[in-house]
Amino acid sequence: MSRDPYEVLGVKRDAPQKDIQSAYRKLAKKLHPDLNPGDKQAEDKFKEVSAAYGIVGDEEKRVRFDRGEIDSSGAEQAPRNYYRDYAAKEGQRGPYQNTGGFADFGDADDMFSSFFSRRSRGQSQMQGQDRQYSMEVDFLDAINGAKKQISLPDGPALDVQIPPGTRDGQTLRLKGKGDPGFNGGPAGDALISVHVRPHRFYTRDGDDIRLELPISLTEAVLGGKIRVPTPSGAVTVTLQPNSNTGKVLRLKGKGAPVRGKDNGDAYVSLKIVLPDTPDPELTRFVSEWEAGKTQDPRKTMGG
Amino acid sequence: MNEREFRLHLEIETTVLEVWISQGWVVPEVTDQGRNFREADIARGQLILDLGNAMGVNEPGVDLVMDLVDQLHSLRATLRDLTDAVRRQPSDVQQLILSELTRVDVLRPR
Repeated sequence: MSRDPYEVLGVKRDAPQKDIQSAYRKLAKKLHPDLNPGDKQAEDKFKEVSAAYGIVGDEEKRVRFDRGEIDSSGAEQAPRNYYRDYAAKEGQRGPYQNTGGFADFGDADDMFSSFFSRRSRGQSQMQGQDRQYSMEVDFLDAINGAKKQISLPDGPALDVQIPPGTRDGQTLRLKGKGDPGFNGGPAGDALISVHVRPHRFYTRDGDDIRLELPISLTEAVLGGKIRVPTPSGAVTVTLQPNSNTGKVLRLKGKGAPVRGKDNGDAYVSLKIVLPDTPDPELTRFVSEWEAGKTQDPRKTMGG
Repeated sequence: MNEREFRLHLEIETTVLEVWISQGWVVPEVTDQGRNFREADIARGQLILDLGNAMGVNEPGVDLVMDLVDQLHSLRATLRDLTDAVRRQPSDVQQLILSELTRVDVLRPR
């Protein structure tokens, strides 16, 4: 059984019709769910007030209610959706966005300023919002360029062209792949921030590539032609005799491609690697090698 | 839904709808087949009717309310995004933000 409508509206049973209306209007303004979007109880209270007014706000029905011909449950309201439910789903998008109340949050050079200032209501044509994504790509795909197929969370599969020389953290803009526009306005863009996975032996230094190249003792001492891997394919390099660990070779143009400029270079740092298992012949030679015993590679370190 | 269905659903005349649209209270999608209204537009329409009928708000009043309602929802959406972003941070970052929000300036006697 619902509460007494007079009690709900807070008016006397003999109140004039005009007072009932103004009492109702006052409560409706205070309780309307769309004017209290965060108040979960507002809907029930507003419903109760509306139902009460549905009876005693109508002079004819009020008379019948006073006579006991109808009871206060007779004015159940049809269930309805309030705008607040849709507004919450629309989030930052939609034609009704209005940032007039807070677009000044964050200074102009503040990284948050663009987060707070979005566009406002009343424009007939509006561009859709940009959407932010991120994706990981392999090191070599980023260097050499690649075509990748990705699928947006709520959209179709999409071909993304990773341009050659793409850097870690670089943002790719896919025009028109963001949110749809309103009233025929253009769609927003998809902004994809690219994260480059580390490589097993290449590292990137600006437009240059660095790698550590293991060489055998024989190659180090005698020199000769060796194959050196680079992102764009292996090249043959002539090693000078007596090439030491730490020596750096520069392979011109074998780094990352740069748009409108020469490619970066590859810097190859040599590293002498002894045989995996001790070699008796080598051990015998070194133990009889006098110059090796007198060499002091740590003499510059003091102590 | 199309314009006719929208008007029938809310029981409003063409002239009333034209006022709503010209005021920017309702912004239908414009397609080759004419105007297209969404469920959200229906709910807005009901709010506009509630304001005018149930609450006795006049046209300038409705304009003011709709503007503030839209500002309120944009602010709520932004605030929700911000709190969601904070919630996705490591707990020590969340603690730092919380302590900044509840910071009490210590007053010292002169």
